[in-house]
Formats: sequence, structure tokens, C-alpha cells
Amino acid sequence: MTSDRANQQRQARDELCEALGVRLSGQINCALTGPDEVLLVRLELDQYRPAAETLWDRGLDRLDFLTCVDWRDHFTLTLQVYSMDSGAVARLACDLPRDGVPAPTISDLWFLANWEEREAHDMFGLIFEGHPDLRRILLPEAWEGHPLRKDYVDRVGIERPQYF
Amino acid sequence: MENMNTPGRQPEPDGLRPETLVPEEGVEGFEDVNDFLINIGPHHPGTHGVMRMITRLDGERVVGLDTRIGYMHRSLEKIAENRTYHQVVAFTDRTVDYLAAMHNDWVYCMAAEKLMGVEVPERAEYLRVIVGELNRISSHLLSLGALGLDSGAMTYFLWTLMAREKVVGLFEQLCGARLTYVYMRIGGVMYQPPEGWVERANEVVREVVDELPRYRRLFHDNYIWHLRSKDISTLTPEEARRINAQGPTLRAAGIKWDLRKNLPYSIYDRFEFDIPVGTTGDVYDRTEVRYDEILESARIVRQALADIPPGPVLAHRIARVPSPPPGEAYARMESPRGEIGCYLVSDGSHKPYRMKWRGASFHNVQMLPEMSIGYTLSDLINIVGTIDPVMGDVDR
Repeated sequence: MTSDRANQQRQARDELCEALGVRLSGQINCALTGPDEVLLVRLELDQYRPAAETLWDRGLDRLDFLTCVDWRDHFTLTLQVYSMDSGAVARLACDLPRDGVPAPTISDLWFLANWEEREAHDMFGLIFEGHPDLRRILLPEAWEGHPLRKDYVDRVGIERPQYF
Repeated sequence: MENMNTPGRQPEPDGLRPETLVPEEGVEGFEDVNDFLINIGPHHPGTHGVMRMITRLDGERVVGLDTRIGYMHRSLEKIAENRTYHQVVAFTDRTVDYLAAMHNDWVYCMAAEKLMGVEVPERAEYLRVIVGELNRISSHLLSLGALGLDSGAMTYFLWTLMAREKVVGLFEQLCGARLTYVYMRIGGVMYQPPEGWVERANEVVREVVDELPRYRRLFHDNYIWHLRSKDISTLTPEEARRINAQGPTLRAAGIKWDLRKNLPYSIYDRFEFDIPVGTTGDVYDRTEVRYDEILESARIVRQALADIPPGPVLAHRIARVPSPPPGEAYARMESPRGEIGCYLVSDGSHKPYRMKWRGASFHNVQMLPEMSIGYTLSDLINIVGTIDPVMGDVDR
């Protein structure tokens, strides 16, 4: 039973890799990530939207998360989706510069991406091109800065003990 | 008050001007006396926390809904970047969904264990399943009771809270806390159950299950409740899939999907249980799915209590300040409210480089306009009750 499911997932993963390769004319970097064995596809920014469309067309219609990681010299935009039918999971990661280069929106495909993109905009200052309603979501409109950036300076200025 | 004037601490600029409360789209002035706005919240019993719903009404029907969140934002993800891996566990059960604290600790620990490559002992896995399912029972009891309270059945709320009290008492015996347990640790659970706890747990589960027929007679089979709940906020399976509905909302729409069964994590493939589904996805079905899930959770708890093996409950050789190798891991699980997940990125240091929390309530609240437009204002309160939002999970 379990190995059946694992086989099915492996097969779905191979098919996904192939479909992505066809759509993006072979220039992709598909790999299984280390500990959790998820199909991780590293992309250029202009490949992000076509790759997401491919995943959507292949039936990966459940969104796990969309987020951003600040690596100090660049951002990594990460999207993970999975399929209810085959159980296949795919994670897209694309690097983009920190200075306001817009990323394409995917909120017209995955319904939940709407608020996830607003959150990434709120916390990192990312701009999503084509988003219908790109406002701050958790912080007040007048908030200055984007708190989850690594260079964010907390204006309240509480002295925090350093245990480690 | 001084804080209010420092930069970054200004009040929301449109908070006091009524003309800006108009929902974003599709509004061109008011046409007649039946067209008006009602602001619900941020402090309102019907919102189950601090959430603001700006409703545009046509008579009594909701034709527009703008949901504003963030009133309880406590920046869990930023805090996690400044704490060691063990310290974060104390935040995941307070800051996010505190009514299912066990699940939230569990999913964080699962992600951290994946990052570090830690094997969890067998007995700890069983204990995790037991407390997880007990927590699902207590969470569903509170959710059903609060829904009853919203629709005028106060007795029902008191009864479910009495039953919940027994389950919470079990947690208190186990880890000393009644709401924020911090029972999960990276590599297992913190304490062995005290003597007689397994028997007591069996007893409590039986008592709770024995109570359920009373609830059915009082509330679920009540004609008034049927009038209030049937054919309200119906969801077709296609619609539920389009808006990525999850948890009881998805199952009430007739889709048999439960991560415990379909993509099993931990040791859920060892237990026998069914996935309760509804047919129309309306408010009534969502309540019934929760009611049936209490029974299924009780089944799992009984099986796990019968099979629980002896042994240690915490993996050996977990560093006090662990520094996992650079990499990323994602763990997801089925919480009482839907799918929750934790995405951890490590850069090799002793603090998580980035933690992303996927909250079930955050996404459920986003679906609210899709579910409630076209129904009356009093139905809206019930619809909010059925998605069971915990504002801690929405705002994090």
C-alpha cells in the first residue's frame, strides 16, 4: 500500500519534470531537496509564471505556501503546490534582486495565493505584477519598512538579552 | 500614548473615516435606502476574536464583504528567527492556533526533525497521535459549542465546555498546562504519562462519546437549528476545490480528503478510521462533519491507547542548541481547522534562518466572501462560526 503510493508519487514527479522541461525548453534544474524529498525546481524569474502555469495545468491545484526568503543579497521566492489526485508535490524557487523588481502574480490561478502574495508584499516589500489588490495585510497601511527583511531595524528599540 | 506618535506606530489612517469603509470593488454610491454598510468588529463576539468585517448590505443580504485582519499580529516568524530551535516550540502553541496547540507544536517539531534527521521513538509517536486526537476532540467541542452560542443555544455551549473540561484535565495531568501545552519536543514528547493516565484517557474518551447523543437531541436535531443551517452557504465540490477549501469545510462539500488518510504522516497508516463527508457543504453539513470527526478521533485514540508500546519518549543525543545543516524542510498536517504547515530554512546556524507558517484559519478567513455573499447578516455570523477561525492563527 505504502510502496504503491510512493511509486505513484515518483511517477507523477517524473512526469512533472518532463512537462516542465517541455514547457521551458529544457533549461531547468530539477532536484529532490535534501531532507524532505520534495521536487525542487530552481528557476529564473521569467520562467516562474510559465512553470506555475504548467503545474496548474497538471492538476497541482492545492497551494501549500508562497513565501520569500531574504538572503541579504537577493530574495528567493518559493512556491509549493501539490495535487489531490496523484499526491505529487512541487516546490518552485526563483531568485530575484532586492530592489523592487516585480514578480508575476499567480493569484489568478491559485485562489489562496491572493493573500499569500499580500503577506509577502507586506513583510518583504515584494511587488507582484498583476495582483488585483496589493495592499498590506497584517500591518497597518502607515507602517514603515518590511519587518521580515534581514536589514529591518525595529524602531521600538527594546533591549533584548542575547542568550546564545 | 507616546508610542502612538513614534514612526511605525501610527493608527490605521482609514480607520476613522466612514467613507473609506466601502469595499474595494463594484461600489458606485448608494442607490436606495436598502443599500448600506455595516461594520462588524474588530471587537465583536461573532468574529471569534479581533477581525473586522465590513459588510455591504442590500436589505438584510450581504452583497459585499471586506475582511481586515492583523489586529493581533505578533510576528511569530520574526521571533522565530531570533530564537534557537528548541525555544520556538513555546511560541508555536501560544502565538498561532492556541485551541489546537498540540498540532501546531507537532508540525513545527516535524519540520525541525526533518531538518535535523532525528528519529522519533515509537512510544512518542503513539503519544503524539493520542494527544493530537484528544486535542482535535477538545477543539471541535469548543467550535460546536461556540457555534451554538452564536445561534442562541447557550445550554449547548455549556455542555460542550463541560465535556471539553474533561479532556483538558487529561492534558493537565500529562504536562501541567491546560491551553498552551509545550508538550512536544524536537525528537519526541517531554513527559511519560503519569501512572493510570492511559486508563483515565480511555474513560474520558468513553464519557465524551457517551455525551454526544445528548448533544444531538438538544442541538443537532433541533428544528430551529435546521432552519438556521440547512442550505446556508452551500459549496459544490468544484467550488470547494477552486477556493482550496480545507478541513471540515472541504469534507462537508463531499470531497473525501484528509491528510491523515490520503498522505499519511507520523503513524496514521496504522489506525482504522473513516473520513466523514457531507453532501451539500452547507452550515449544517460542516457541523455534522465536526460531530462525526469527534467519534472518529475517539476511535483512533482507543486504538492507540491499546497498542502503545513501552520505551523512551524522547530521542537521545539531541543537542541543547542544535545547528542543523543548511537546507529546507516542510511539514504539513491535518489540524482541526484544516491543513497547517511549517516551512523551515536553515543556514547552518543555531537559529532558524526563516520560518514560514501556513495557518489554516488564515486561508479559511480568505474564503469567507466566497461562502457568505448572498446570505443574510445573521447567517454570516454562523458561517464565520463554521470555519472556526482562531485569530491567533490568522494574524500570527
